[in-house]
Amino acid sequence: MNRIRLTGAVILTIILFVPSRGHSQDAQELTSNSFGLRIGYTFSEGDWSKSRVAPNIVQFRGGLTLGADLEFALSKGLAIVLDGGYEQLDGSDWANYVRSKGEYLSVNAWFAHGGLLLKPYLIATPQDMLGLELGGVALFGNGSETYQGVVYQYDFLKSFHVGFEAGIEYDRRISEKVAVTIRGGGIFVPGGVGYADGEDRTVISLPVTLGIRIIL
Amino acid sequence: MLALFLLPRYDNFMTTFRMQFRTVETYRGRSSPLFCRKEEDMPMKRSAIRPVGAATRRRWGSPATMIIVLLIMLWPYAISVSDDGVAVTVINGTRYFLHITINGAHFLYVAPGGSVAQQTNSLATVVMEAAYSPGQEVAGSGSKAVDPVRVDQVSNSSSCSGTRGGNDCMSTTSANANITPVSWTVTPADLKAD
Repeated sequence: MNRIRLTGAVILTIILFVPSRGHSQDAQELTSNSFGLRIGYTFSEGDWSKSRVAPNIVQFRGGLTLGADLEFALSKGLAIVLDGGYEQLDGSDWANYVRSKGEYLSVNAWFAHGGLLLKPYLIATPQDMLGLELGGVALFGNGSETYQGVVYQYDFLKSFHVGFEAGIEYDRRISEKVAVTIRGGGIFVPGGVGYADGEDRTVISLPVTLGIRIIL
Repeated sequence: MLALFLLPRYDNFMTTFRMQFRTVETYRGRSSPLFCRKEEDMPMKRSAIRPVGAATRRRWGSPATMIIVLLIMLWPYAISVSDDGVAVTVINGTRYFLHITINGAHFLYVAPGGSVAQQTNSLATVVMEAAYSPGQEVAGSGSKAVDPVRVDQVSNSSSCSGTRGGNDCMSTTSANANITPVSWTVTPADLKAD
């Protein structure tokens, strides 16, 4: 918990102070409404992804992630972002572990999120844009596992939880209306996984994506 | 009761809405009603113009429509009143993690000693199932069906309020219908290998 607070404080400090010093005068002109599409991989961090039965086995490894966002320029070097994403969870480690015990198991699970983020730009030149993102996120998931011929729905993923999301995105313009993007982020949702017997775990997922941004 | 409270307000809202809509429709294409000098300029004849309330009553006031609207509005309330439900608790009394199912709802990887609580929405038979979670080198499952029991309790109570001059005592009798909670502690003996 202290680590999360420290991370939040660092990001807030950067947002409050760095943009005011590092802005180009062209930032207002360069910050514009845009639409982004991303594809990449999400890393799962924390004990939420570990099996309860065998804590050294990853039950939900990260997987393919898809994302999209709408960015609206608010003011000089500042935008607001509507962000959404989908993350397929990979349960192959857990399935293989169970098979090694002589049982059959298949896993299918995913997360989806929607976020509302503030995005101050640290760098804004005609070619390069670098922006931080920070805001709230809503996370919901679903999935099931098939075991002994019975399909069990994952009750601990189903519930809807809110947390916060942070990210950093670099855009390189390849034409007047199109930029390629690389983005790294983090989604932190306390209680994002909640077991029926009362144990809650914080979901930490770290998507790294490549994409394009269309300037509207 | 909620429907009876809301329905007149909904009707008033629709009446107001239709009055606004009628006004816009009548003078559409003209900057002001003052430009409507001749009757043929009017989008409809005067004789065709009816009091708005009458039209509204005809559309929304028919008994069949009102009954349907009332039923739709009361539907969730009717369900919650007619079905009492019962509290169900399944306790994992084994040394292993369990997959527990209560009336088809799954609760996975319930820890040893942990419990799952669920409120059903009917008094129908509660079906509880439990199976060892995967990856523990132990297999087995079991189930239990329980019919909720309604217990009618009659209680007598008396209360007295007195002053120095005398006592006024009052006796009351009340009857409560309680549904006995359903509970199942799953033990290894309940879980048989398939």
